[in-house]
Amino acid sequence: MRVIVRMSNHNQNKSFILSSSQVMSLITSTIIGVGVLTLPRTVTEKAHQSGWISVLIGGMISLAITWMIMKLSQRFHGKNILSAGESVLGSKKNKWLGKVFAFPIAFIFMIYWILMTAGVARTFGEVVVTAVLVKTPLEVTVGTMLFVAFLMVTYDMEVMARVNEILLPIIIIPVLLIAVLSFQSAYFYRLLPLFPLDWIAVFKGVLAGVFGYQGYELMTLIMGNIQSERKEIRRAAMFGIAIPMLVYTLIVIAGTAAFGYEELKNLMWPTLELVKTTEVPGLILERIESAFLGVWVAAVFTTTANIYFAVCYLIKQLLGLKHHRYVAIVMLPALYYLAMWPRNVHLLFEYLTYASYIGFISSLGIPLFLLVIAMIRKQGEKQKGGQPS
Amino acid sequence: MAEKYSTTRRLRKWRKREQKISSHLEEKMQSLSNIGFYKDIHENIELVKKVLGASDDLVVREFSIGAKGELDAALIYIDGLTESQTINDFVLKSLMFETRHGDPNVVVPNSELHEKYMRFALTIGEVKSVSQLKDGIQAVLSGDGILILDRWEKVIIPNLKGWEKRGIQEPNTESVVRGPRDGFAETLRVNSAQIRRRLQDPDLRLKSMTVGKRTNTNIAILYIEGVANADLVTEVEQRIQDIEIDGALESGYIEQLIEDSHWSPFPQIQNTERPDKATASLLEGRVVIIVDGTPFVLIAPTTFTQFYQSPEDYYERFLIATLIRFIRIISMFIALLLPSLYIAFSSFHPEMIPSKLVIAMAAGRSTVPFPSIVEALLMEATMEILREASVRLPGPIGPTIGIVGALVVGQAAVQAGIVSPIMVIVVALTTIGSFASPSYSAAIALRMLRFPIALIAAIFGLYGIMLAVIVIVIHLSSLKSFGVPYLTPFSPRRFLDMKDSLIRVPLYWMKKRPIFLQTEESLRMETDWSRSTKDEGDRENEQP
Repeated sequence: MRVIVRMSNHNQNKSFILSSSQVMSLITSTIIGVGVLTLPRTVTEKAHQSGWISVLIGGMISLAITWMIMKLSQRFHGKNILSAGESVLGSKKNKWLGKVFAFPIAFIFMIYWILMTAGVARTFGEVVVTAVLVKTPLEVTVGTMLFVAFLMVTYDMEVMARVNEILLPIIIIPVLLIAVLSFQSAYFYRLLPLFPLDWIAVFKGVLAGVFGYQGYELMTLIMGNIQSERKEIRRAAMFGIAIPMLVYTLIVIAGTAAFGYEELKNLMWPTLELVKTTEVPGLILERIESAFLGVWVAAVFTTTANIYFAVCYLIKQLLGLKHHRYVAIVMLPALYYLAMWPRNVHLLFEYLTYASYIGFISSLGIPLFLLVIAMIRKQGEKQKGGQPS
Repeated sequence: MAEKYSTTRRLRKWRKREQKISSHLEEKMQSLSNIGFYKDIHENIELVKKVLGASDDLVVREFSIGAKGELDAALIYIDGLTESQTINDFVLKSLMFETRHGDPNVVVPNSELHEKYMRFALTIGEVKSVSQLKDGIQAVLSGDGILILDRWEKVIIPNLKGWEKRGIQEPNTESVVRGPRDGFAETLRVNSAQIRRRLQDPDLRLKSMTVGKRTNTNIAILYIEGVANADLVTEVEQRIQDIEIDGALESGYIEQLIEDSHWSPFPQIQNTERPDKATASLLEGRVVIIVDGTPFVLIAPTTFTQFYQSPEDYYERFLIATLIRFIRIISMFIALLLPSLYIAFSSFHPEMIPSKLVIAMAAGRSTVPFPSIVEALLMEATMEILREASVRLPGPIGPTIGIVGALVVGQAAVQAGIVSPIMVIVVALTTIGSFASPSYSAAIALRMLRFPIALIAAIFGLYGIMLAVIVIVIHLSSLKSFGVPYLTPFSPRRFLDMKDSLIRVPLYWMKKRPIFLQTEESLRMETDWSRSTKDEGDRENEQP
């Protein structure tokens, strides 16, 4: 309808523009997902008692990558990684050249996102089946999660942004509460000795820390729908990383202080164990891990659905389809099959680590590569006096 | 991108279908529209009689006017729609008596004479003349009646409307403790006047249109020019104009035909019986649609906040208003989720319930033969039946039956061991919670949704409840009401609009109109009220 077109900043020619709070919510809720359930273990395995420092450094690295993506976005307004890649690598005469060269970029991200969607859904299915719904088959929990994510993907990016915005408080508040409440069983000497810092161990842990932040690659997709020339948008993206940084650091500190890194090694889902040790004041609920997992569904959902959306959107763009809905329908059985593929949790974790390597390298390498080439070819530089279009 | 055009496409499709059905009526009206009135009075009377058929409530009063009765005239109206005192005193008496004193020898050209009668002899406020038969018929049907004069190709339409109507009463659906007691009535003019009384603003605009090929229902669109977004007003107008239906008997017809999404359980257009609420909406920059024949007035656009906002919030002081709003929000969640939470806790996560309570619950459930989902559905269904029955029962019996039914059935069911005592508490709380919402049509959506959520909770426990909530959030995020996202101001998040969402800040903090309505004039208050009142207070203190 005419007014709908005019009244929302959303019309046929111009794509939907994300607000700063939406950018923040999208990044934060994509990052916080199943990773936080295992993070205290994966980090302290390598970095021992200084695991929280690794998490902080991992956050800094993620911040740097986000900043880089923002720089790229400032050069190419309204273009996501694929269309930016096309214009960086292609020439004006032969547009197909850009398409050919940009194809591997899209392909790497596609593979990584597909693996992540399936992996996250499977991991959460495993958690639910082991911790709460013991009698429910794994197939059902994974299937329902993927199906609900599919429901969201059938809508536009606008709807995805709003869903994330609404669910963000539900994701952050419980995990912060858990982190704070679990300090009642914490012994802080377990965080010591702080010095001398074992730098080698810390840097070994950083990789695990960075993997915890995975999800910020969504930036490469939504950079086509943000006004990165505005300062508050760039700041919102940084905040989007800073919130998980706070949450992760608190959780790792709480986990280490409550169990000690020696014991953390033996815990499959350390954050869940942390929840089990906490008591709710007033004893309204006697044990809260079911409630925590219930609320946690929202966090995992946003991760799964956002990456699922990213895959579908990228494929749609690559094939020049009308709507990513059609891709989503085709992808659903494939994702389900892929999610059920690892035979057990250990294999799953192994595959997820490989996927994380692809993700880390691609999210660090591709934007850097594009940025350097763009700088050499002097593309997307601001024209003097003219507004960046 | 596709769904935003769906409304237009739907209307167009539906219009095509509608055209086939109503072709007969269309032909009749088409033929009418080209006919003008004749010069001869008898032909005109015959014409009107022919169109309206031989209805017995059609009154044709023939009489003569002028000093010697030289001009034949006829008044045609429908009995019951007109006020007989007006007809007798101001039409018949004026025309028949006053014109006798005129000088019969003065020759006035004919057409001027008729004009002169209209201007000079008819002592009625609203008079107009038309030359098309269609307009004349319309006037008769709407209660105005037509006055036919001989040797003239036009007829006069005096305003004779007057029928039995219900007086202004307290609205039944939206009672408040503090606030005006008057509600809208069934007549459009009475309703628009109630808003005019409250809003003596020269910028208040009222646009009339008619909907319904056969009912010709009058509809008025009200808005404040310079406040309401002009695009919004044209959009509302356009959508109403696009309606083609034989009859619109209540504002619900209009609501369903102009809303953005049919399949949603959530109302995308608000309705109210309260003039103060309608006026407040106008001041915020919304559009109010009054439909003749119903006390329910439509407000567009609307957002999710209608689930817990009441006009009373603005009359009470802000702390109390905020507290009451919190209570409404809690009751909203209770109405939606409590039965399913009970089912999930008792069948999947008993470890979460404090151990003493779980023992008590188990003792209560020991005689119950059903799983908790059956128990819950049984009680919920009973409750819904009781509620529906108490609405249908006449006057004072209704609430009595409701209370007696609930108490007796609940008590007996527990004693018979069909349900557990906790279940009765849960169902009672749920029912009460669903009625704490200030908007009936919004609460209905929650009442409806709690059944599927209960079923999912019975299969998946808390995990299922959360999935269901996420699905609802996805749906709400995709909804729009006249271009305004339904979840505004929570998403897209606007902190300035949050002042009047979960909390209600002091009035002097709300200096601006809601941003999401994109009003033409955003400021509500020019001055800094907190400052000026404080200054005055200081000055008073200074005075000895």
